[in-house]
Amino acid sequence: MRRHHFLKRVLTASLAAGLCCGAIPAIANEADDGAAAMGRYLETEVELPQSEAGWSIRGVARTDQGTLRMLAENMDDDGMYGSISILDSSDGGENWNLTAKFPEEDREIYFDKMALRPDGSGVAAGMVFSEENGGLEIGDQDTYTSSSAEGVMVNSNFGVEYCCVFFDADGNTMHRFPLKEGVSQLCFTEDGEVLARTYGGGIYSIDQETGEMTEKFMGSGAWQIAVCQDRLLVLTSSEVRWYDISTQEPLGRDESMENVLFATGKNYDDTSSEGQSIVFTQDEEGRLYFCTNGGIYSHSLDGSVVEQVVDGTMTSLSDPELSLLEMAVVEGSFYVTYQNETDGKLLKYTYDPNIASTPQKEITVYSLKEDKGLRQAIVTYQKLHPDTYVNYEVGLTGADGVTVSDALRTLNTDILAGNGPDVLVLDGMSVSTYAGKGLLQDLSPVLDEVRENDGLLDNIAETWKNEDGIMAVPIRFGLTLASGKAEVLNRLENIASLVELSKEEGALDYEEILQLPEILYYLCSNEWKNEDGTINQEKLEDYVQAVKQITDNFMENASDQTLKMLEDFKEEGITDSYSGELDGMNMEFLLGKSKMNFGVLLDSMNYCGLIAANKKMGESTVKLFGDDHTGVYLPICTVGILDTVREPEEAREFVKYLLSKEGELAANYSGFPVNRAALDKKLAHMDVGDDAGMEVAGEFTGYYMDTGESVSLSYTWPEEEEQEWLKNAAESLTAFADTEQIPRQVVLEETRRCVNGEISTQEAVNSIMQKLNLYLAESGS
Amino acid sequence: MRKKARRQAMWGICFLLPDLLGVICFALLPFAQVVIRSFQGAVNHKWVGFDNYKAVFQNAAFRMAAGNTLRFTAICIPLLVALSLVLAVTLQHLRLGKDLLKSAFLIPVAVPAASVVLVWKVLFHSNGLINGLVLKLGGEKIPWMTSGAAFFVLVISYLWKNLGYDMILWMAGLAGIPTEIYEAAKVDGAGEWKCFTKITLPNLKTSLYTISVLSFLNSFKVFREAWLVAGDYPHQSMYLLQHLYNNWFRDLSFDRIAAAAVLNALVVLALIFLLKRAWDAEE
Repeated sequence: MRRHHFLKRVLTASLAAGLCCGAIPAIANEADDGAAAMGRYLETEVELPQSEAGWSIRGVARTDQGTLRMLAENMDDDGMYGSISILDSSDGGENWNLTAKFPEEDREIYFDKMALRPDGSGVAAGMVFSEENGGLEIGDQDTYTSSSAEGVMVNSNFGVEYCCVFFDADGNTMHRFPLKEGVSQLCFTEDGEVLARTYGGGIYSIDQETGEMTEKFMGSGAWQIAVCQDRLLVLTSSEVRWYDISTQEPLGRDESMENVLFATGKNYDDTSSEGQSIVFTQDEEGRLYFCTNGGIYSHSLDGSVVEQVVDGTMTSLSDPELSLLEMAVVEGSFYVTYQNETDGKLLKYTYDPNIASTPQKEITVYSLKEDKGLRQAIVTYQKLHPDTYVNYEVGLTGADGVTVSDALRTLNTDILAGNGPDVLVLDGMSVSTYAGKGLLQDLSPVLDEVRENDGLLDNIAETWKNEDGIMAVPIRFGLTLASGKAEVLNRLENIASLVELSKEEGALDYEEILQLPEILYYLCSNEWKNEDGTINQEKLEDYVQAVKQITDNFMENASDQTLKMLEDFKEEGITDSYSGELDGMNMEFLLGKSKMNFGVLLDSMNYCGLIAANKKMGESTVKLFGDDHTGVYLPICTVGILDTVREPEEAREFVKYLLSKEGELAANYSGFPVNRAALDKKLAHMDVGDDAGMEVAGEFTGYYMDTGESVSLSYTWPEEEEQEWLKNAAESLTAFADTEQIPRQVVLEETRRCVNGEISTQEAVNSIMQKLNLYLAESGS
Repeated sequence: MRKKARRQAMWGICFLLPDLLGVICFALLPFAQVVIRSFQGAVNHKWVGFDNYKAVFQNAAFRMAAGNTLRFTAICIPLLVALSLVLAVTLQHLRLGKDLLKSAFLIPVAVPAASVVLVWKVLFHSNGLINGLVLKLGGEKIPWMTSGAAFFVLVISYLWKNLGYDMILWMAGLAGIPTEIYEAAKVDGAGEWKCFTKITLPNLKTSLYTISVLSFLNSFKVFREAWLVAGDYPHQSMYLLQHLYNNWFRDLSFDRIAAAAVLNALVVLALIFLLKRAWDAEE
């Protein structure tokens, strides 16, 4: 009995002790001897053979001799396309030998996809544009037709023929065959069979004697393929599948790769002739490697682990403009070839055991939504500062249903806990809240430095200046413009006149109507606030009424085709994601169906398009759009440094870089630079070497599939007076659009409900007033 | 003997200690920090005295939210307590289907908030089922979620969700009343109503205290449904204190949240204290 009592006591005491231990946090026993982990892959750019105009790389692969073979188009060559050269390097890209060139007769082909066998032979696929049917005039009414003869598909509007060329190890082309479909990817199996993925997502085998394409594995749905040993990897919209090549039997899904590839909701169905978002290769031992914007990963067949070998965030791979072409691994070094907006490059990743695995200094940058321009600037900044790691965090990735409010609360929790970012991108947030709480540092010294070097558009850079200094600075900006027929623009003085103009048939087009709430919000948002912080109901009502009236007027005059298109857009939810951007190459305007377009101009390409379109249509002009002929500017990428910054010097250096000419030019995405020198360069594009106004900046071709209407337009860089006009317009702006997400969401949501007829104007205004008053009351005292 | 009593007391303390440590670490210490923060600036922790309390009292949104929350509590708690008691007494007298009905009333407790919200939307949307019925009967659409009716939707949702839970607690209390008392009363000629008022209700006072406190605490959970349906800025009649705290957190107003939370806690404590005092006085 006593023993039983004793055992009971021991048992209960043990349980209580266990409970105590569970409640006490475990004390981590860190073996911190101060030594950092060493070794990581460093990126270098492989220097290519001398060429004035450069090389357009098509493919790179390892041969069974351990050399690196590259196929590239020499842009120095005259004519439409350069010749495809086969170059080999046996010293990891230090030196290149020109092994062979494709023959002259193949120069009519635009080769965009290639694959190599280990012995150096291979296949190249491309297209020929037929001169008879190439090119289109504005207003061309030919409908799209296709004819098929002998397996050759001809697009009578674009005159494209697809073909492929086989070549031997010495680079001699052996066979040229027409292909019945365009090919978006090529690869060789271990047995030398050619597998091709078509634009339609089907997987085919190409007969090397006849060029015949035979469907294998699947007829559609494949976004990427890769061969690894005796298996074929197929990447679909949501799965990674393996197939046995010889039997075509499915071998199952690869969940470890799926977890890595689909974690952020990314899709890989973006193949173009300029590249794709994922490339694969295997090493000599049959280990699979793949490369994405996230970095280079390794994975063994039948393994359940995917290991990140190269962190993309510390290299050029994270550049959102990057399109990957091919990848190879030779003696433990990785070679990745890519294409971006301006050129193609070959990057080499070599392991250096003497360098710290992560840079010793780290700064964290946070933004609510992904800013691709900022990401590009981070890529170039890290190259210049290899000792600093810039960790870019995005609150709304789009993959997990997080709302703006949720993201802000999470951010504030981190700030409160001392784990906040160092640099905060305040787009969509209340700058006055963060500045008012004393969370942001004064950036005046940083601006002074940049102003001294390159000059700044002070009216925009000092948007957030107050008596304590400049707590936040927009790195880029957009401006509200209207463009089109002069006789229409002359009558456009303010929003009331826009309402009048909307009654005329053909004055506006559907693109503006779809984005009307957003565009007018930018113009009106700051006018609703009274000095005492309350909302001016009358002005808010004017806004909602204007949006409703303009939309209704447009709908009254719109054709059935346009109404159906708008209905389709609404059903697909496309209307939910408009930003109010002005489309410089507006098809409706170019087809003469509308007389003007308006919105926020965000880049020089669209400005070039505006000018070219106006010249083409004649008697057209461009002006600032807003009340009394003044526009507003949209601050973009407004940055601030948090007071809790851990690396203050590095953070200031980073912000200074963002504002510098180099940093501004590194960002090719939305917004004009606040840095004057960068703005000059963006508009003039002087580094091309030709005078402004002479160089073709780009070509635009658009068509409507339903009606067959099509249009094409070449646009040049702006002439000097056009550049000056835009710069003067930017300098004249004093009013800025409110970018805070919470009130914006409230207003746009109710306005759209009103436009869709769900509620009346008065109900919309009442609902907005109630919510905005609550919002303002919360911050008031 | 005293040694034995002390030893037993020590064992009791040892068993209580882990939970007590947990309550201290996760409830009391954080609350103490909140109290301190209520006298400091939002981010810089500068001492500001009662400025935060002043700001809270002067804030129109706080006054509205506090008013709505009090109104909600004042309407819902007595209704819930009374209805659940009636249900419990009724079920207790039922012979057939008692268990089935008990389970049926308990189901809403288990339904997740997100599912409740889906039902709300189907029922109370401007083109929802209820408005469809109203239109068929010749009436006009009622803007359930965008007018003062939203408050009553909230009340109904709260009652629906918590009725079963309180009913079970009442039934437990009813089961604890000795049946001999009722028999004796019936022998003395007491009717049902007299039994209810003179025997049932006095014996349920302990349960009343527990159920009132629990219902009061559960009333704060109705924020989940309100937020899921109407977001950060619902109709004014539905705008509760938690909406305000949620939004203040987004706007870094930690100082005001702390001050308002302290006021909130004081009010809740006062109510519970008053209830306890009333119960003790009866005893």
